[in-house]
Amino acid sequence: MFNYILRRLLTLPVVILGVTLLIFLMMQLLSPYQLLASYIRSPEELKNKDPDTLIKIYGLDRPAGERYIKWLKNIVKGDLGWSNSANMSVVDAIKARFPATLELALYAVIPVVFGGILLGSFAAMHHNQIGDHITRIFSIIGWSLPSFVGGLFILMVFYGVLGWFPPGRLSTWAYQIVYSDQFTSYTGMYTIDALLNGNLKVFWDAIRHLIGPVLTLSYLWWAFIMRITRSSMLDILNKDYVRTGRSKGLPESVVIKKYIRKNALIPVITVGGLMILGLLGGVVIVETVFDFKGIGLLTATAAQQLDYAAVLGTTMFYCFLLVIVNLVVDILYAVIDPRVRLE
Amino acid sequence: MLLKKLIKNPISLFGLILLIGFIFVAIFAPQIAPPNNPDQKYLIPRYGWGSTPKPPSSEHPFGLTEGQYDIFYGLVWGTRSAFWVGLVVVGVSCSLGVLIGSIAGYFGGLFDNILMRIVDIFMSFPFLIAAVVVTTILGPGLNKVMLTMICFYWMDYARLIRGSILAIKEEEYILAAKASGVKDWLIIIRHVLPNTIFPVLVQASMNIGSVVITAAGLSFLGVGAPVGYADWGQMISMGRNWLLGTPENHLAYWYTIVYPGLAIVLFVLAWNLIGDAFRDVLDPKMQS
Amino acid sequence: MKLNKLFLAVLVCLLSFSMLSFAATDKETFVFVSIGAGPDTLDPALAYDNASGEVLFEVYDNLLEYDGSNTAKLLPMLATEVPSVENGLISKDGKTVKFNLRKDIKFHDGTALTASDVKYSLIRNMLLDPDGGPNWMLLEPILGVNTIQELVQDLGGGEDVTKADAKVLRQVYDLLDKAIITNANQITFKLKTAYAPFLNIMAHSSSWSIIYSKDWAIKNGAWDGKPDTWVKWYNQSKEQMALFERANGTGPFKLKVWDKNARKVVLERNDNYWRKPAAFKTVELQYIDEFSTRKVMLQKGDADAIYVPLNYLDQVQNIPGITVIDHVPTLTNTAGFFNFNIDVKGNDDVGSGKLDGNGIPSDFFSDINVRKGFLYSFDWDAFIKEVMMDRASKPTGCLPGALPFANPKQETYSLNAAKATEAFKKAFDGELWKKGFKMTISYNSGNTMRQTAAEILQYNITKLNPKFKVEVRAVQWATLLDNLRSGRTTFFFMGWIPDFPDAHNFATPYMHSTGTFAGYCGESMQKLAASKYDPLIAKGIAATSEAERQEIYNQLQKLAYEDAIQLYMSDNEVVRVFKSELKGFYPSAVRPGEYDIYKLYK
Repeated sequence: MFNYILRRLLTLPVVILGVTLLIFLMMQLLSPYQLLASYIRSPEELKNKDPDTLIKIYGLDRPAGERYIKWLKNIVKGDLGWSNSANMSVVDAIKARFPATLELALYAVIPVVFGGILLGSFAAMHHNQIGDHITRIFSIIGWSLPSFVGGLFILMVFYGVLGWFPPGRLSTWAYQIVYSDQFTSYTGMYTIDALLNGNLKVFWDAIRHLIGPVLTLSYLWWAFIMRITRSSMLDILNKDYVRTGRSKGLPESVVIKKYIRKNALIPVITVGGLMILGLLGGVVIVETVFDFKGIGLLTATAAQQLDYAAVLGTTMFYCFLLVIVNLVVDILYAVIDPRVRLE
Repeated sequence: MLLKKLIKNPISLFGLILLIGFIFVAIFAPQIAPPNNPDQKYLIPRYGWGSTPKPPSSEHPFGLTEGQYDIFYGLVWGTRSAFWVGLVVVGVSCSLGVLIGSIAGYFGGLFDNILMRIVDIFMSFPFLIAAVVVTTILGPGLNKVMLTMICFYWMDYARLIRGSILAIKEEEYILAAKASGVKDWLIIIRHVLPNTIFPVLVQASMNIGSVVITAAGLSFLGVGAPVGYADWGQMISMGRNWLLGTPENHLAYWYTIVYPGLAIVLFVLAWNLIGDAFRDVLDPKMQS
Repeated sequence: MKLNKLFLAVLVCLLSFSMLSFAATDKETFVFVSIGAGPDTLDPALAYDNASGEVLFEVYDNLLEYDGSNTAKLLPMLATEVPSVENGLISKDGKTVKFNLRKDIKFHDGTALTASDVKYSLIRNMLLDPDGGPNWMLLEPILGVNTIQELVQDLGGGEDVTKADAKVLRQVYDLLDKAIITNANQITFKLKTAYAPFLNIMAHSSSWSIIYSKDWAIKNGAWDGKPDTWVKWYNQSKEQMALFERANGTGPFKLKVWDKNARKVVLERNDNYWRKPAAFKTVELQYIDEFSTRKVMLQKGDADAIYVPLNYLDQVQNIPGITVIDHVPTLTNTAGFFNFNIDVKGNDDVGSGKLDGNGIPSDFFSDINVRKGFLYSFDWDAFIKEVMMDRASKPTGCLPGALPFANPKQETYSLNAAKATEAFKKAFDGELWKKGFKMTISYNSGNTMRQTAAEILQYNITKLNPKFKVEVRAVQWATLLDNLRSGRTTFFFMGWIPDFPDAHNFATPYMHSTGTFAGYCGESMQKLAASKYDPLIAKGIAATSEAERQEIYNQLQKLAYEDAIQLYMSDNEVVRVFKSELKGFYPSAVRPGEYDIYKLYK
């Protein structure tokens, strides 16, 4: 087991290198002038910026290989470059933006996983009964609703009409508290920082701002987890060993606990990895709708402006994160299903 | 047999009817909404230069959205775009994923390791971000969006099928087949795939919907179909800034969001309902 | 069941807290939500965009300021009076300009403002001269060059400033040292030539001539003020520049936080301002791209004012408690430009690249009749009424109508199918009409105004002759930039945001052979400009009498019409939308931000 984990960790640099190479190769489809888009952001900026000079300054006319190696060298020094779209160094941008996304994802994951699994098994146990139909329709509609339509709708109702859940991360007055000297920032996650500072007003304000995006994110993924659980539970309900268990006269609750739920979790875990990935990626749209300044918004803006330092930097960061998530998923596999051996 | 089962369940029947409706619209698009310019059928005609949407009228049954684009025309021709995007992306990426996933899962070892590292590399991009990056580089356009989605959609299937194969690989009937010297590819096709493909197929049918949603999401972020192209996502993003209506009437521009939104939701719903029912009907283990 | 109850309890709890509506903004707070990414840099030597200018406007002062909305009248700010020939502060030949500095003014850090701060601020900006910065505006009148690099080269220092001889570098400093002379509380500028808009360049709204503290700048790592060392700070990149993220001015507000992640700038009242302190204790400038979000923030009172693009104006009109100031004139204008020499190699926009009915040749727009055909095919009435929602006017040339020396009587083109046909029939000796053509107009995706303008042209041109085919294509800005630079665009749209309200600042970019737009319009256009327009432009800026200048600019506008060089689409207007309790707004065509926050109150 230990060897297995070690080996997986050792492949991490390979994967990261592969990712960066892939992005760099794609960037080669662009001309130097196109790469200038993050330096000259609109036609109006042409009035004071000369493309030819800028290309020379930033070495955009140098061969790709040379630029890649230079970039790699800087990475080793811990320098991911300057992000034009965020107007700060890529490292600083990631440091500042990631806590926001993490906070969002953490709050979204809890209702998604527990609610999803419970609902999913509920639906499977009541296969083709009214409860099944209702949860199915509920989940299918959730899965069929684009998150930006859902998000805008939530914004419209809960902010536009009711005024409850505003966009952004904090209200103006709460920002003033956060910016003041009395408030220490520990994690960058405002709910946690607020609790650590003992400031309940800021805590509730941060929660208020989280509800809209969390609702949007979790509704979609709730449906997703629910249906996967249901599918795989139905699958297993018909397996021989379950039927045997039942025919032996074991109580239904024991059958569910002992045979079904555990086995049904395998696909859920596979998908759980996907879900974390999806949550991190899917926040792009939700963060855009709710103006929630997290890392998804950072990457999307960077990509649209062809700010390749930031795109490469954040993607590498994602990559690092996700390789670890995948590793955890594989280990969980082995724990839950002993038939899968970690060779 | 299959059809009978689909029809018997009211939910899947509803899905089936919806889907047939959409197929009908896609096929007869030139008759339902005749294009003014046959060379550019997929460009939605504009009826004016202004920005403010106009409510439904006898001439434009669904109204005009931002930029005076005819919503009805866009929806009808958008059905073709939706089918095209959904079927091609899912078809290609699913086959690719199943191929790679089953090879990796069944043979294991070095093969598995290499293939899974490739999967890791591709999966290390959060999908939407990868799509944004690639479409930004390739430039806007539906075909480029599709190419991007194929590139970053196959891994789901590969992992899913690999996971299932890992779980059944050690089951008796496979071991027995192996012991009796049946060729590997025959085992995969005869024994492994039939027992593992269903989660994949279910997901594939659902994914047709989510592919359409993702394409719409890319339009929402401004990197999808070009402006004026008959594409539902595009049409929703056109209505996006009018969602909140005017101060007197919060629903003043409801038609700019509701019609295209409904089209997407119903289309995705149709696929999801059918996919869900498929699963129950097709699964051999469910027959008994 | 237990779980359900817990869930319910949490939900009720949350909802009750959500309903506690916290007072949005109080009487001492002003929140303005705009669009975009926020300031680019706070270093006045580099800042050139509106968002940066907006912050610098509130934090720093200039020697002079405009009299409210009136851009033709100046008032003293840090100076005691506005220099003029009458009060003896401007010499008769217009080459010497003197300012007397107000006394007892303090920077935010408490140090006193002196004449040497003024000198240091301006000289530092000019010496550092970073690429993409605004300093040509100071260099042109003071040293008669556009860049320091140009000056070094003129002095024999070679092309690379950083490798130039130390003597040359010293010479550059000495030239500046002699051009700006301080004497107790007086600052004297010795200009290279008379320069009509020099006082405009020194006036508030111009971030390149704001005054910052010398000692503070040096303490923070800026140029040390010594004659021989400046090259170390020359042309640094944005993030290396010392004043990138900090500010210390004499203005009514202090910079408190520039949170680039939250995309906001927070300013705090300067209670020791040399005039009456501002009404607001806290000012928050936020940047949110989504219009719906901005709108709801305004409706809910979380924002006091928001930026509203014209096409969404309907959505904010008639909201109780919200004021809409309509038809605010600006000095920005938009035009369409012909590329006289299109690069046809590997170019998708020109079809076959030949005059064979399936494309256009490289010199398509070199033919004046083609240009005239296009100009007679643009429907200004429809464009201004429907696209600009009547919040624009038809220009008579490259000078906006609101600007002195614009000629309202200048003849213009308008939609006329007969004249367009006539012109197209003459083009290429009738060949074009017989064979037809096919071309693409591309615009940067997302800009619906430009898209529609292109489609209006397309609609009217293709109506004339079934063999005329025009396509309109959205391309990403990166691609358009690439095409512009490599000369592959056919016809493109651009706008101009002026630096100072003077005809010279329009004539140069639009009509000068080295102006901003000429570079993207092909060699033939540059040659035409060099022979016919450049001499007039040079005369226009050096002339000292108003009548003389009027005559010269009239002539330029007439030539632009006769030569049909550009399609002047619109002189733009904007709207301002804010809470009705907000008082003290006045429009200004030169201010970088929407509001002069110092003058606002609730």
